[in-house]
Amino acid sequence: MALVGTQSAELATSRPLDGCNATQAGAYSGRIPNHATAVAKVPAMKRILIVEDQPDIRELVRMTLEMEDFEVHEAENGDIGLQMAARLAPDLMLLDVMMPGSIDGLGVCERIKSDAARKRTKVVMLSARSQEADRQAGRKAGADAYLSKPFSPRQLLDVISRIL
Amino acid sequence: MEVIEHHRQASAAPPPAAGGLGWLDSWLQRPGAATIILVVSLALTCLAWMAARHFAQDEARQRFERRGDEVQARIQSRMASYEALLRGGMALFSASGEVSHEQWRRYVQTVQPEKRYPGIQGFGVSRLVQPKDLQAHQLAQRAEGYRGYQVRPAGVRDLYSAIVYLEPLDLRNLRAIGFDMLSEPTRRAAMERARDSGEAALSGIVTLVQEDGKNVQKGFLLYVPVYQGGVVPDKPSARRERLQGWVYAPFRVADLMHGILGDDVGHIAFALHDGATGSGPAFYDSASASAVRPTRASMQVFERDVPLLLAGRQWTVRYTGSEADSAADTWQSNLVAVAGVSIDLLLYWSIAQLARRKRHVEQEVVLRTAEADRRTAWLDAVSDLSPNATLVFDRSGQDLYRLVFSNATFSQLFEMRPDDLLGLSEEAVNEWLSGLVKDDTAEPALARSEGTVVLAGPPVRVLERRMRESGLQRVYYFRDTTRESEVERLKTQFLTTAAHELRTPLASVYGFSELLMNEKIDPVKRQRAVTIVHRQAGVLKHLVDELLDLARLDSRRDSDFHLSVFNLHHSVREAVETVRRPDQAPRVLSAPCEQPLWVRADKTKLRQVLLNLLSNALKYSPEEAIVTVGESVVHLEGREWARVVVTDQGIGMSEAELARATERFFRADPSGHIPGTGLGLSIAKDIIELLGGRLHIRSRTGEGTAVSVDLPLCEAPTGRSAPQTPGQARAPAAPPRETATAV
Repeated sequence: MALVGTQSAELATSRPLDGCNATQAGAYSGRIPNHATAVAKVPAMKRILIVEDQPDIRELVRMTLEMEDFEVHEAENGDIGLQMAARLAPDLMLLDVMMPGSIDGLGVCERIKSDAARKRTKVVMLSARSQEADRQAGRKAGADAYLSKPFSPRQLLDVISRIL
Repeated sequence: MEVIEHHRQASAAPPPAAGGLGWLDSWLQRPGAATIILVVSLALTCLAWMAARHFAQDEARQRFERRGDEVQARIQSRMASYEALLRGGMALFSASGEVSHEQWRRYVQTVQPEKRYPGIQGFGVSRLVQPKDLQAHQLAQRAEGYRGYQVRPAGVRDLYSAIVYLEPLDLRNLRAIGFDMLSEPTRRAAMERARDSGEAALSGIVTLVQEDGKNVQKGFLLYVPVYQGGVVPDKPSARRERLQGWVYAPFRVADLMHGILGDDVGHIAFALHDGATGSGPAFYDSASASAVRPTRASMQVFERDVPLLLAGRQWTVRYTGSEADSAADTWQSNLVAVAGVSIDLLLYWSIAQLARRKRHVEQEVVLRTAEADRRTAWLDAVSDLSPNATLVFDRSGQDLYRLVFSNATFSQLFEMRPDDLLGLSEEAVNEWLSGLVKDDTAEPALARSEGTVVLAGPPVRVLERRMRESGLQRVYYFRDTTRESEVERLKTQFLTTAAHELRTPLASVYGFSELLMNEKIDPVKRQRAVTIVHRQAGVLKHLVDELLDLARLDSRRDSDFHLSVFNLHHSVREAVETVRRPDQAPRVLSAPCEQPLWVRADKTKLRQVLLNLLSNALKYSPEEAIVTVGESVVHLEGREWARVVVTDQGIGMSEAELARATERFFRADPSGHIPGTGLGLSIAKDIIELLGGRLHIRSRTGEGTAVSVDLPLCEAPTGRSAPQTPGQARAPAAPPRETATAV
């Protein structure tokens, strides 16, 4: 019961981020202490969209990214991720490969890369699949980097800073 | 299955035999032909032999007659010569009236009878002596030099004759001097015939007085009369009166014949008979005179009687010859016979041999054909029964192979009728089959190496190709490995999925623990991170446990089970108590059965199954929804089963999801919101089935799921007291059922 309970709580906490309001909230409510310096340094914080079905991983990524100055948004499947990407025009998308729903991470990546409006959006694939064929599939879909799970938060930050 | 009958064309009518001799050829190969040919050829050989023999005999007879004629002529001519010589003596008397002993001797010496006319004993003169003159004659002769001369034989006769001269006067002839030839009738007859006819006369056969007892031969004499006045008087009476004597010649027959014929009597035998017929005894037989003695055994004897008229006396010469004499000629006919028979036998042997050879070959062909049929039959059976596809190509030209055989499995795998491809070349077949191959496999269907062919299907089939080439044939063999590769694929998929499932919680543990190393992280976040790490580590542990369970079930089946008989109700109650959380309202309603549910099972495993089902039911239903656990006894298939049904009101499953519910790693909620491995139900099903029971799921999307477990009911253990009634284990509490027990 405890597991279910925490799970539900987790979902509940992350849920506001999924919708439009949540995005607004994410965009403005932000992490003021962190953002303050970032805003001061650069004209606009880099905007990152996480598309990942597992809440724990989303939280891990968020926690990691919050160590730097990033505007972080979350989506729990590919369809929502695409909608949000269209609205937010993120600088970077972190895409889980295997996700439930009508479109998986690779599909999302292809759509983003083939969309002329999203030309500036970089894509990093996150996947539990780590074989060469999977990496190749990621490259084929146009991903800029491919990280296999489990990944180190440090490594993730390195990859992101290299790409952006 | 079809086989292109190449043989059928080949075995069609044999090429017609050269020209019109076909019938002869076939006739010669019939079994009796050799015998018929043998009989005919033997008959021909016999005819040839008879003809040759006939000619040879004819030839021999002619030669025999020629020889006889020759002998005849030589005897006649010689006797004529002797007669002429005697006439010469007569002429001497005619010329000189009286001839002295000396004159006579000179005459004979001149004639040289021994040298020129061998065979004659001598030339002599016999004088006619009147009885009154006998004494004077004897005296005169004694005066001539013949001391003790006397006309012999002594005695008184009306007429005497005496041999006065006989040349050459050797010891033998000397014995004849003085002999009165008229005293002996045979001689006398011839002498009188000569006297009366005035011609030469030949005497009958006598023994000469010259014979001395050694080598006695028959003899005869030839007389020529000598008349006074030197001429032959016309009248017989005058001839008698005027007769002076005779000039004569004695002959020893054997010596004479030797003298006439010399040694040249080897090949002909003849006998001399006195008289017109050969009936009397022969006085000469060349056979006894010659060393050569013809064998008369069973041979047909040539015999020929020829009359020989010599100086008024008739002889008969009987020539005899035998086949043995002409044996030198019959060798030809014998050679014909021997050679002919040899050739006949050779002919018979070779024709019979040929016929036998042909029969043998025909039998061999029949045997081979039967053998080939048998082989074909079992090859057909084998290829018909084979689960693998087979293609056989026969070489029909330089680098040209044609399909002659395909089996039933081929037709089935490649989905084409047997005769679709038969007779096509290898290239054409390859092209055809390559059309069926999945596009992304570059390999052609018929490569001369081992390989894999993937048919596009549907259904997709993976075939393992093997190929063998032996001189005139190429055989392709396709083994359907679809199932094997599917199993392989499933295994890989399982490993991949398992790895993925492990990586996901591991990613949280790894990532958060790294974050936790950062000391600057604020306490609230730290707390969250620790909570998540712990939870995900729990998930990992659970996953590893279940993977191990699964591996054990897969490899050891039920050998790990510790079977015992127990009441299923207790297990259900324990499981229900285990999932109860003390801090929450009870969510599980138990509806136990009145009768104890004795089952024979592994208690621990069964508890694991029940816990799994209960936790699934709780996981997939809303927070406040009730899960019920029902127990009952059902009668199915002629026996009793203990049934436990766990029913929830959760998210449920669609029909497609239901079909995959017991697959490994299948998650009713793949989003990951509900923790789990996707292995629980699969493990539960495996365990229940290994225990001889059944697991059945009914579900509807949005309405909930009911999982029922049936286990065969067994007898209550004897050593135990009756268990307490399960229904009274707990105090009744909440709805929905009155008998239900809330836990």
